[in-house]
Amino acid sequence: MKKFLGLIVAVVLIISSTTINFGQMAVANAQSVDKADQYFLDFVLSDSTYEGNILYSYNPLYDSDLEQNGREYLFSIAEVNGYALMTEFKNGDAVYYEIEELFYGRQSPFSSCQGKPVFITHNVYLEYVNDQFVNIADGQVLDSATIEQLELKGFNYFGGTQATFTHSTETVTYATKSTSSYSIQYDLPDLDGAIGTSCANVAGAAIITYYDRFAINLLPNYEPMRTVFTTLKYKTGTEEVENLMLELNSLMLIGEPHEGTTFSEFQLGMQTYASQHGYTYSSTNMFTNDSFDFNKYKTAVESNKPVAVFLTNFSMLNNVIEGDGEDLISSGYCPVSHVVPGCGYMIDTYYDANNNVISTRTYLKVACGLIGYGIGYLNINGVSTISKAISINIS
Amino acid sequence: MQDKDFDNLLRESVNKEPVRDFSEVWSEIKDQLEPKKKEKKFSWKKWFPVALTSVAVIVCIVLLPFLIKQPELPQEEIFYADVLQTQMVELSPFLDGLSELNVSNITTERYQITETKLCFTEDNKLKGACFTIYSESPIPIFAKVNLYSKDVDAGVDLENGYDTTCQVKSASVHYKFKQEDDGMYMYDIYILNKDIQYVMEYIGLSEDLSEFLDYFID
Repeated sequence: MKKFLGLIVAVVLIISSTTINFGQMAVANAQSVDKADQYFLDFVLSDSTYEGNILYSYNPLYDSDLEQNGREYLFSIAEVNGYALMTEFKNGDAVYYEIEELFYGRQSPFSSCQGKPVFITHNVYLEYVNDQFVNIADGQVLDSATIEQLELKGFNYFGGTQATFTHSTETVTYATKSTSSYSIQYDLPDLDGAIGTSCANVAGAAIITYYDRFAINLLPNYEPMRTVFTTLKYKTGTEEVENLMLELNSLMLIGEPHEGTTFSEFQLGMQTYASQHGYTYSSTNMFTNDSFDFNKYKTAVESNKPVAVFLTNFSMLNNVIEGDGEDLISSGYCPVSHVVPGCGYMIDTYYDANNNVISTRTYLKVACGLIGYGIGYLNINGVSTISKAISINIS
Repeated sequence: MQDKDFDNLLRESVNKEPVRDFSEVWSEIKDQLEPKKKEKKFSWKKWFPVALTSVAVIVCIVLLPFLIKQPELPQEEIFYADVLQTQMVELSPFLDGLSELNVSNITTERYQITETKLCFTEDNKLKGACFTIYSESPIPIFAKVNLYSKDVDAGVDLENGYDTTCQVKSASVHYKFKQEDDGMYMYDIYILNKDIQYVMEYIGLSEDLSEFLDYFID
């Protein structure tokens, strides 16, 4: 039971200029709270540590054809104002919702919008005014080719390549240092993408192959591990795993074929695959108050639950070279979105001569899905943008 | 008259002449004197070689780069390993692919070869292979191997902890120790031999890699 069920959550809908106050009702009248609202409320409840009534209103968001494609929610909880941008995807009669961003204590990037608010990809906020698409951040008018590119990018996660990495080094000086680390036993399968698949399919396949150790026939008639001397290693380049990636690629597709996979598509594909094989898929949000919550992540992986980490850009740790009282931390930064399954972590804590903590560096152990990094460490110390993270359970 | 007598006569007459004071003479002539102006006449003869040299130098500076420019060599295209398309294949076509890449040290006589994939460019040129090798004798070894031709960026950063470098036969070998677990030694190995790059995750029962490397490299 969610902590908030003990709390009376009152939802106040502000529709146009009319305020309907439901007072102390647990949840608003079902006729007033539609599916999108419910998704938004569930998301806030899974994310927030604030307690109190949620007051909200919303405005429509549009795609480049000026068709409605989502909602801008403006809300307050415990006297803290915030906003959320939700997109919706249609597949036949089915509609899927996705919160692309949610922030507390911040004004919506569409707050100064004079025309129609247009939201077609992560971190880009446009308005359609005077028959033109204008970037609200800098007033720049965008031509149709740029709009087309942004629309193609959409809210999909693509995956980086070696060509897109730039490398840099950071130095930390210290008197003493301690390192703590953890990994799920045998890590996760170190998979590369099959032709025609994306990083989300590869991440999903790694997680399903991992759960196949415990969930019999999740991958039908397959033994995911082999004995190597006295240990176990995942089989990675097998036909079964290759077919799994292709199947997930097909299941993680909503609407027209496009490059990459959205968060909703990832969820839908994983859920469908698990249910088709007689299992239940569930996920838990690893964010608290709009930020990645490392403690939730730590608890999840220590409970042997892999975490799918969705990144709008990311940095992989190359190495840490320990010198005399200093660490040279080298990382490769990739500006492209990516999805990686996490299975562990490493925390370096640095102390001064008086044994005071002067700095910490936290890295997530992930199956990167890229040749050259394999099972490596995601550098999350201000150089990766985690947009979503969910721990996954299949049982 | 002898010359000598003439000289003496002249000397005597000169000595008899009274000598006027210099200041007296100067005061008489000073107003008549004008400093002589030095006139510079332009001389083509003098300046022509300088001008000619200058023009030649300028011409050389401008034209030399064009004159000495080599015909452009076609730049070798580099392919990134992670954008190569991998295709799962049966063992037989896999071994054919290795032959096409001139790889002769990976054989079924030496290793059990599984998880066999070939790597192609977008225009279907064979550039590498991914597979695992396993053997219990003569040297116990398990390795996940990605091999690529020389024109592929294998994505290996040799600065990234590959702290041991050695030459084995014709091969340049770089490796780093990862961990020891229950009598198994794990290494990341990069080998460049005969224009083929091998990127390996190695697990063996010996801490010393020299025996394996000597066996693996042909």
